Amino acid sequence: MNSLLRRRMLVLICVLALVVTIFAGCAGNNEAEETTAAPAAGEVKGETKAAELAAEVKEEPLDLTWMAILYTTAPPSDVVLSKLEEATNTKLNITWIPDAVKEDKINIALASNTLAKVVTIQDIKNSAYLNAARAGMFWEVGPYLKDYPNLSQMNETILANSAIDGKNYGIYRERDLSRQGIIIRKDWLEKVGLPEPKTLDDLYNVLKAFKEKDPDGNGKNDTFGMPDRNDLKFGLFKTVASYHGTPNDWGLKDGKLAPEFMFDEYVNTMKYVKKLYDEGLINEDFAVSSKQQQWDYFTTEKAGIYIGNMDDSKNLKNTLLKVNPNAQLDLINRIEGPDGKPHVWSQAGHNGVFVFPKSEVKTEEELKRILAFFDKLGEPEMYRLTQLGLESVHYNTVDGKFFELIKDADAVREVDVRPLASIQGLKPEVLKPANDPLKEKNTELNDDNVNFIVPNPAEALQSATFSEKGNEMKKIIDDATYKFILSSIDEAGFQAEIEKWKAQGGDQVIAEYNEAYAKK
Amino acid sequence: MNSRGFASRAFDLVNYTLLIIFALLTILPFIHVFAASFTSVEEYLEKPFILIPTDWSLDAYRVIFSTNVIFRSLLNSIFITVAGTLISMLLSVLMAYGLARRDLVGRRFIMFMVVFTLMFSGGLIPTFLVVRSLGMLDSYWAMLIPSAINAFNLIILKNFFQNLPDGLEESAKIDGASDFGILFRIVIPLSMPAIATISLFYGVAYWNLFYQALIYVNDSEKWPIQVLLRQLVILSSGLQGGDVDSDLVRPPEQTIKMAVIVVATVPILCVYPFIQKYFAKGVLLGSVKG
Repeated sequence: MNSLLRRRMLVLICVLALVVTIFAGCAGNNEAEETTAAPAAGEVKGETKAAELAAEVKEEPLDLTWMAILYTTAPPSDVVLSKLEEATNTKLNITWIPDAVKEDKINIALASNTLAKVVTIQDIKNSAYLNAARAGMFWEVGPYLKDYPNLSQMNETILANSAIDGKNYGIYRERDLSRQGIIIRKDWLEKVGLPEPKTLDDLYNVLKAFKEKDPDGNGKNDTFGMPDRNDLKFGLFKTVASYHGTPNDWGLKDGKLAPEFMFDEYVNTMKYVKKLYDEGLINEDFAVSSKQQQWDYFTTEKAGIYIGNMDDSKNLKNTLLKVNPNAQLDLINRIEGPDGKPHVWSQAGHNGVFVFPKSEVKTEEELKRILAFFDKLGEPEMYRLTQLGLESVHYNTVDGKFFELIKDADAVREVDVRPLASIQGLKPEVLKPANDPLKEKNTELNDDNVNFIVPNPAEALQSATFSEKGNEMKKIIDDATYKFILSSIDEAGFQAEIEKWKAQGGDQVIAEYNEAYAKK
Repeated sequence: MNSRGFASRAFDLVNYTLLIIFALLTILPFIHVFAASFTSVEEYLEKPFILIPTDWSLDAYRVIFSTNVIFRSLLNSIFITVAGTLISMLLSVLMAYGLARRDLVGRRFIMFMVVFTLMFSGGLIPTFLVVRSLGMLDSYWAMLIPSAINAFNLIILKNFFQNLPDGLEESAKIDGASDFGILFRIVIPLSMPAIATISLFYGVAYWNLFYQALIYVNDSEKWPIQVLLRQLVILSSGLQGGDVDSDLVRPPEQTIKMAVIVVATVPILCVYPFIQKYFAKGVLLGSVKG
């Protein structure tokens, strides 16, 4: 009996020890936090005092917490950030969220109400964000914008594209409307003796020549036309589709919105790409290739044309030059369609928005100060700071308007400057590079694309069915498109898949978009 | 040897061939990553599959150790692994030993609660709220405490303790050992194979931990190496799909990615040889006679 009791005591002690350890753990943690927090607070106070003495008229710096997205491996150093804080009279307290978990983090923050004063939302179609915005969790900033010199200049189209039900809840992160185009091996083009392609037929001829005429001159038949990847949108398909005159996601048919794949131009594009595939001008494994594999085909001199984002030319060139220092690249953005005019699809013109939760930004005055900060961030000097860094440390100015990156500062630029692109909203100017013809042409053609872009008429519209299952439904069409190109279904088969799409909610999506379109 | 039939030898041959193929399938990608991390970018681009680099280069390692980011996160990982394994083992052993006692009141109920967590979990957001309310956000504890006891490991340990002969304990008691004395001087030394195995499970889990770090820890100075590795691999392979915003994302060199994989893998690999001897030993070799 006695031993039984003692055993029970032991068990009890074990359990107790477990509980105590856990609590001790938490307590220890709190203490540690307090002790480390105390001197930090002291430092901040000291700094503020010094700043006050230096410039007594200056306002108390704005304390700004921010959930920003991190696209590099590590958060930025203090070098440029402190200059930015100084220039905007702000104390930035940025929580860097790695790109890979941004959705999870935002969802958690929204659900548990652990937001910051500024929150970066990259995907504005995210349903958690949409619901929160509609529930009034964020300040509607639209009516305030007119009071600020830079914010009042924001682009109407992009504002409309980044709005929810016509209301603007944030400052957009501005992007070029379209950077799609063709990256081509200029030296190969000269080797096969063809001029720069201007039409879709020219393009086909160049691709054929790249396959058959041994453009790399190694005597082996080891090249093909252009690589593609498992992405119909940012791979080559959508861009080639807009060359054919296909609308961008949605188009008008007899005054009503209809999805792009119901247009003849879409089918013509499929036929064109199918022909390229059948003749071996596109890599055989394109439907399962990753972006890296696609790039490898181009940078290891297996293919000579890349259709996609023209900004990729910089990275492609850097890698390609390591394999062949004599390689030359060129960019083309105007390919005439069957109607004799160039077209290129455009994106929304933004890559997400900065929003201001009412739970953190409590008063209108505070909101106005934060907006003033973003207004200031939209000035050319601030823009240069976040994009280029510090003059004569990270870059030099040539002739007062061109910039040249300082080569020796490449490594520190990665740490000091690059992560800051994430917090830039407006783009007040086009940064013109000096002594880099490819980048120069890249910038110029991005600008030129605006002259013939095809916008998505449904970009700013919402459809409940689409946000619920639009992505799953889209798979039906994507699969059918691949199957058509790979010859496992014919045109009738493709039409049957469209019927399937309609039956699984497509009809509803079309109706909802048209309803929203009519209201506008 | 000669007495063995042809069929038997043919069987061996096939067996060895298959095993060698499987072994190569496992080891070759690793050698490739290792070799690629020590080669120059040029060679990596020219050769699709490198096993022995001809153009040796430490450039990739020079780049990743040029800032102290990788080094600091390695230290974080080592700390989390060591501290986490100690905490987990202490808690698991104490609880498993208690649950292994047949005379524990409410044992079935406690076991039921443990098994319940194997099948159902609270979900991400409720767990986040608990961690936040406990004040563990942004501290190492958030990576150590919420996953301190793994129900599966606990059950293995408990079953192992249960299989120890009762006689051992009684004899210790006759010799005057206290209850804790029995646990630490008799039961644990006898259970070294199980303890070593479970420690390894915990150790590897802590070394590979990244999700808790991503969700609970905003302070990048406390991130373990896996967080950086994941970020780097995703950035460099464009896995997130779609259009990588070239204003924001610049894919790093492939050799750098390989070097970080090596740096993040080799330390935990080094632990295996030290633990291996426990796997080979018999479980209760010579503890009870006759």
